[in-house]
Amino acid sequence: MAIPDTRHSLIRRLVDRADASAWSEFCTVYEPVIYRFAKRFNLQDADAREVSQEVLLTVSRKVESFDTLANGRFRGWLSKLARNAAVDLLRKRRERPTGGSDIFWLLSVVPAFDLEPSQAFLQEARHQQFHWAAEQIRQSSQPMTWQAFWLTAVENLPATDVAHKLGMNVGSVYVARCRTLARIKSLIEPFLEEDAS
Amino acid sequence: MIAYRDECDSQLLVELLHARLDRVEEEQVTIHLERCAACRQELDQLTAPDAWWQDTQSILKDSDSLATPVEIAPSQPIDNAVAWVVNLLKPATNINAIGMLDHWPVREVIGQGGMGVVVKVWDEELHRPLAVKLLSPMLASSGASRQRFFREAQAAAAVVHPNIVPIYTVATESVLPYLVMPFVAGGNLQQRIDREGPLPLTEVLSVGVQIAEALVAAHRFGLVHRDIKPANILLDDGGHRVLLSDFGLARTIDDASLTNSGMVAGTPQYMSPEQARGMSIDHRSDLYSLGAVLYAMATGRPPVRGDSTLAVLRRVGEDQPIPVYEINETMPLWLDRLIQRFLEKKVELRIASALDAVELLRSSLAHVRAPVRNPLVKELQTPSRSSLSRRILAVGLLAAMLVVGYVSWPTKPSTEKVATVSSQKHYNKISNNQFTAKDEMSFDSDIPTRLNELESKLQAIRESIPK
Repeated sequence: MAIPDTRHSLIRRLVDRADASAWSEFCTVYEPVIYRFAKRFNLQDADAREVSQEVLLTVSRKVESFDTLANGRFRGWLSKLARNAAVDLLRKRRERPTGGSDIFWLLSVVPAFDLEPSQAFLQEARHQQFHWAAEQIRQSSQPMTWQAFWLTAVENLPATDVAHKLGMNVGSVYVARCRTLARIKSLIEPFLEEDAS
Repeated sequence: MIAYRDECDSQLLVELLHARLDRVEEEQVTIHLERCAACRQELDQLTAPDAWWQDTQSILKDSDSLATPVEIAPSQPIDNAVAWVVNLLKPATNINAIGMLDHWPVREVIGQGGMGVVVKVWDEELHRPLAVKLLSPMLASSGASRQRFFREAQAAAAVVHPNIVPIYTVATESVLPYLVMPFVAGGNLQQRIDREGPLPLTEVLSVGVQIAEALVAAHRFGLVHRDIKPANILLDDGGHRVLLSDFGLARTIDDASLTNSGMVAGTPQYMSPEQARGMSIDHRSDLYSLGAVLYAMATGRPPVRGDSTLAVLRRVGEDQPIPVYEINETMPLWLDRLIQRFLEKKVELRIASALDAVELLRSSLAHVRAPVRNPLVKELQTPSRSSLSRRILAVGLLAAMLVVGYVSWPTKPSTEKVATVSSQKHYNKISNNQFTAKDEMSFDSDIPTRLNELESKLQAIRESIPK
């Protein structure tokens, strides 16, 4: 597959509600991200799901007013929404108010509570984006191409060994390896708001 | 680039990465890559910064499901149509063929669309060219698309009509499913409009009649075509018979299985407002599209234009198209009223059936060919203020014609005779439907202009008559 030179930023496309594929792409990738992020707050499965739905709904309501030109703010906003939703739910579930500061209470119930949550969120997002994009490309790749990519780029085997193993030449192994990552990258880039201009 | 290359060239590496090289060039650069470690490293860097390679390894390494390649036909970009078709073919046994598809020698790739690719093959038994429509591999791997493809075959095969492209064979067992149809040599209506601009009035109406006839047959089977547009209207060699093709989106009205998917099927410029909004549609949606095709033939462009699919979709329900005669002044005012009967946004006000459309278009065509003998149907006439003024007008016109006839008849007997003979020739040609394009041009092209002039003169006379 030829790699499109530029793909419109996903956030841009989200603002246009008529673009149904943007929404489904966004939800496919971010629902598990928010879910796993919520689980870090020691939320139960059902609660974590509630959080991810809540956040997606908020995004759908507010994305139009979000300033897409501002770089680097979208994921920060998303992680804040997710943290707030998770903390709200925790408060609701809090059986007996113990008094004192919220922060101390949170630190006591969430073992790895991070005052700046976006780092963890970004990691989850990156993880999910990579898995999702790799799966899309795997589905549309020749078996040989995918194996050449996987063995060299993921399993880190030398290209000559892989060429020998697959009965290809080293040049073709390199073409397969690089084209595949380029395609994966082109699917992930729309999620990175650095491209949002 | 034919010459053998074995040198480092970053630009070529970029092209290689983005699959923009042809087969020979790609092979050459790959051979170079084999020998040149520096270029291999450069290719890695051109692909992505180091962080991406590191993430690839650290993020993906634990996934067993991703490690296994998918053993199905891979998807291919549509714009590489020729490449993937050629790859699928067996080596040619015939010097004129680019390869073999089953037992068919493939001559060339003649078109590509949303569903796949059309190739021209040679039928060796009957010595005739055929068109084979191959489902693209991307779609062939999806059950829904396969179904849609076969539905096209069933739908089109069920309707036998001189203005519908017949389906000869459906191959389901091949590498890719395909349909075999006759090869229609004259290209399609879109190509003709692109090449020649607006068509003469008689052809606009005659093509319209034929499509309407095809729709009468299809609608009788409960089939809505859903994608009537100039590119789906094929012209036979002489350009006089037209054939409606590509029932790719056609489906029986009660089959809602695909409508729920929310996919926008069809071509927005020619789509009815109800179809553009994703509402339920019936046969009258095709009549709207037919109207849009009439408009495109008369003006050289579709009634609704926009920069993007989305913009067009929004406009279909809102904008009023520019009147035909404002774009093409050789067209009579009434053609706009005729097309408006089809482009009516409210379904219940639109022309009601394909049969009505045939009637209306046929009578208009008869009127253009013999305006005196076949008056324009009432609904297309310029609305007049009173029937009395029309009667006075008719009497006046008759008197005027008598005077002209009386004056010209005895004075120029010889030229009159010649004129009678030549118009008799014209008549014969028309009745045999064999006239050449050139004849038709000289015969038709000034009629609309003159009708237009007459019409505006009549309007002036009418306004001068007191009530």
